[in-house]
Amino acid sequence: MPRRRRDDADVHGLMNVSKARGFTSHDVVAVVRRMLGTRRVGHAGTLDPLAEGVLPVCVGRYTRLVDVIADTEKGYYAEVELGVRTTTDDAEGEVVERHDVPPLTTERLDAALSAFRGPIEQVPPAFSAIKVAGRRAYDLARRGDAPELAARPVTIHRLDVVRCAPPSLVLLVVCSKGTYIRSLARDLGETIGCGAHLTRLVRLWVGSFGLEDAVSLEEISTAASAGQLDTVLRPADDALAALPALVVPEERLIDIGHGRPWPATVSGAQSTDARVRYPWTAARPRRARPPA
Amino acid sequence: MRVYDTRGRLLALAEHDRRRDAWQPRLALISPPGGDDDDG
Repeated sequence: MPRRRRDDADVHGLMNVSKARGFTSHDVVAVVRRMLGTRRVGHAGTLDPLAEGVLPVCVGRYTRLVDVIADTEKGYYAEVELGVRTTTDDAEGEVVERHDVPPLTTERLDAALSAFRGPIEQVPPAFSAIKVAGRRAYDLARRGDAPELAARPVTIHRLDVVRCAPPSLVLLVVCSKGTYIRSLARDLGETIGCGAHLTRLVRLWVGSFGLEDAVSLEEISTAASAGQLDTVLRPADDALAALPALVVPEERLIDIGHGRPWPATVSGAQSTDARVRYPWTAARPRRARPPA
Repeated sequence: MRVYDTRGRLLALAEHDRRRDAWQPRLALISPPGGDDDDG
């Protein structure tokens, strides 16, 4: 009988955490680990300390889904201050330059924004966690040795103006994994001709994880203390609902557990329509515990 | 593709390997029987 690690609590599921401003994403993971009594906790898609909003957290066996969830589309509410460049491209850094904001007509603003819609090449902020020769870019930048980071392909699916009251500009951004909203603010400022930085960032959703039903660390703590973790854990089906489903007979379990392929001809019932829900998933409440 | 067993348990994510006409598990959420991960 294999021995179970002492800290390996039998808790499995996904949490839609509402991260508060001031915490790092790792702080959230550390707090959840302590509350749940397990080290098997990971987050999907880092949020900067100054950012707030949706941070999907995977627990137990579902930590294997971190990369799958992090790959999904993300939506952000972003407040930008035009005319001020900072070292970090957000309000945490030192002001480098100030410029007057040119008159912004709807046409001029839309022309500037349209350059960032669709697939683009984006240079990450110098103060980012990207590794350069084994060192974090922000460590190098703090020493005054900011690295030249290579542009990376990202996709901006939507870029809408929520409010424009120069120097303040509020945007709704829907984008792919790897997009830095700080870089978007910085580059938009350059395109307009005055520089800019990000002053507030709220992540509204990551895939099917929405801010409207995200829970705070306080709510998780209360649920854990009351022995009601099922009220804050989501079944994995919810997070993966965009994928089609396949039902296999019991004898495939060994192949799947060992990562071995099995012939498609013996797969059993399947649906290629992601909207099809099997009766057991449709019947389960949204935040119920996943199948045991 | 989400892969379930007949009890509605999510087992894995899998991709269709067209060349072999087979399903290839890419992310198993269970361990094989006798493995060290108790998945019930």
